[in-house]
Amino acid sequence: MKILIFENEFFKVENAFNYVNERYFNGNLEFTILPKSQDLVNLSDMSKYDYIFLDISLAKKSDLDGFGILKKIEEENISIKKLTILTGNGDIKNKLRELGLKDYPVLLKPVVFSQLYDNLKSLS
Amino acid sequence: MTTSILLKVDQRAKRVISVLYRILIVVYGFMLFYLFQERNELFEYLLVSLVYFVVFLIAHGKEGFFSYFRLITDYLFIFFIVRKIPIDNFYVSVLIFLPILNSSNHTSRKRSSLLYLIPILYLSIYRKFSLFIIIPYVLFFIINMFGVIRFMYISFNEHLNSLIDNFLISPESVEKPHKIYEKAIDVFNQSSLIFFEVDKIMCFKIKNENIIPVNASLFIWNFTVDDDLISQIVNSPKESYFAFHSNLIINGISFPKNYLLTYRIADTIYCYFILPRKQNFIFDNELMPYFNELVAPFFSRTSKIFEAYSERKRLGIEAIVEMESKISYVQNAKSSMHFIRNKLGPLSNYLAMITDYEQSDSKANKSALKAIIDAERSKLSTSVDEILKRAHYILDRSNNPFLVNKLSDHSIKKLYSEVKRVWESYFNVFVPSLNWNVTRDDYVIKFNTIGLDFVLVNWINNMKKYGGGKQFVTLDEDSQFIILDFSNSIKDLIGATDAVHAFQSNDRIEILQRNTHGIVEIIDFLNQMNISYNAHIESNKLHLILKFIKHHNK
Repeated sequence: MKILIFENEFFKVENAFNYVNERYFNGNLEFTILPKSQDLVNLSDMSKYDYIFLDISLAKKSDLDGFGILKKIEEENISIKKLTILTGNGDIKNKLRELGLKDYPVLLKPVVFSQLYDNLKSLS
Repeated sequence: MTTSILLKVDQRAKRVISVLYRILIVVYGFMLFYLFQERNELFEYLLVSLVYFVVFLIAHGKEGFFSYFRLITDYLFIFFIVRKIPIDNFYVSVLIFLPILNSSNHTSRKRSSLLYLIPILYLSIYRKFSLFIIIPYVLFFIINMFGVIRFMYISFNEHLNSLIDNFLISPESVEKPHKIYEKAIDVFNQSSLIFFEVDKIMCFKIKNENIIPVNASLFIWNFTVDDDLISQIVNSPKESYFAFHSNLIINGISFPKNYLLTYRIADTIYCYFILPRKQNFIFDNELMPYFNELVAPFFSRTSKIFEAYSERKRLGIEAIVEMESKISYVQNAKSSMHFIRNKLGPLSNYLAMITDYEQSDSKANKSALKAIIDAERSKLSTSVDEILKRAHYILDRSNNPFLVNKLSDHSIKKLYSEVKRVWESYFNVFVPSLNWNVTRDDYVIKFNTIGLDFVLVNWINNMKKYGGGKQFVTLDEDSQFIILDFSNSIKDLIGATDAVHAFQSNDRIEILQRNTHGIVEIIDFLNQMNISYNAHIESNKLHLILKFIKHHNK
């Protein structure tokens, strides 16, 4: 199963992802980690992934931040299977509302593997 | 234009004098009648006197036409009295000149030339000119002219003083102090004492031989003033310096005709450039010997006001700088909490992994899981080190700008003044129950002024906001302590009980979780200042008692 992770500090959550992968998916999760939006040349390729984790604050050199990517998804009607926002901002739902974006599930950082698994278990 | 108190008092005095003056004319007239006229005309004299006085009372205190009316009535009455008496008589000449003699007390703002013309006209008709008449006439005229100038000078300065006083309490005085020039220019241009029209006024100040614009009746984008002039002003031994036609360029335009006057306040020199509206012979040829004295009081006052504003601004900036360190401390504490939360992430993840690992039956991937757990543990140990380092920084007292533990010796008068000042900013009347022995000065108390101010402001503010409307303060003492007892009636018993509990509790976390209206900070500051405290409810009143240790006054 292919998991796309937009995250510029993946090392902070890496162990949680690896643990969930080994513990519940027998290492079958295939992670693609992208620190910048432009690392995915064609954003419509997001539809090829089974699950997307999207950090809001991406690398400084990223063309788009997490909100920008969400906007593209909605404006270009990119078909995605599942998406969870990864953030340390507890007020993110209000921010989404302010920007006129849809409501997405949120996984607050720092991430504990069990919370991560709660999001992913639909894939198992 | 608002009339100053001085001018109002002067006006009232003149009205009283005006009545006395008419009484004098009538009495003096009666004396002349008695000396020179037929007794059978007494009734006629009394009737005319009565009419004169009634007419005067009707016109009394009124401006404009009535001032002329009063003057003409005075002369008509005087001429009625002297009509049958030889005019070159000394008594008669005194009576004829009485209005001129009294003119310095005229209640009307302007003096009419009729004052001088009417007696001249009267004397021309009778063709009776003598030295008895001419000499006093000329001297009275000269004396009156000086009186008029004196009054104009006082009135001019009083108008300017009123202008400043009224301007100071107007909202624009702080935001737009230059607006005062518009009003001052109006006063200058309405005065007969200034023989040219003022167009612009600009204020600069020289400090450390640098000149900077303060404000002006026009916006100054750029300017040029000769260095030589600055040097002359700085080196002038006089408090006040003036000069004509200095080289002055404002916003690229040269203003060759100008008048400069300066005022020194400590190490700062305020310089005012006054520009005329158009070519003026007197201004251009520097024929203004008393101008400096005339406008000095006004510009001297504005200099002091601008200097006070400048000092206030400087203090404001200092306060901001001081505030910045506090803001950055708070921001730092906030970012530290984010930091700690992020660093604690691996801990909760690690603990969750350990629990899960121990419960897991699968032997196949145990070694892979163990490797991940080990990696998380290694990350955790780095995190803990960083958390501890950050916690040490926050708890290090030297980094805390909110410290008030530097104490100074103060008298109980100072404590009284501090409590009174804060109390009166919340409640109208400060009537403490005073049980201090105020005659003794052999001991002092210690507190930090900022810390005490914080405690008083917070607590008295709470009394105002949450109290039941009755508040008291008792200033007590015993052999060891000076005691302040603040008490107030209770509106919300639960809130008051919570406040007492907050003061009694040692559990900071528990206090922090509740809304205690700044009590945590009050306790912290009191502890830093070694001021013991006690809060309790007694007779349906919430008391906060502060005890200051008495120290021997060395």
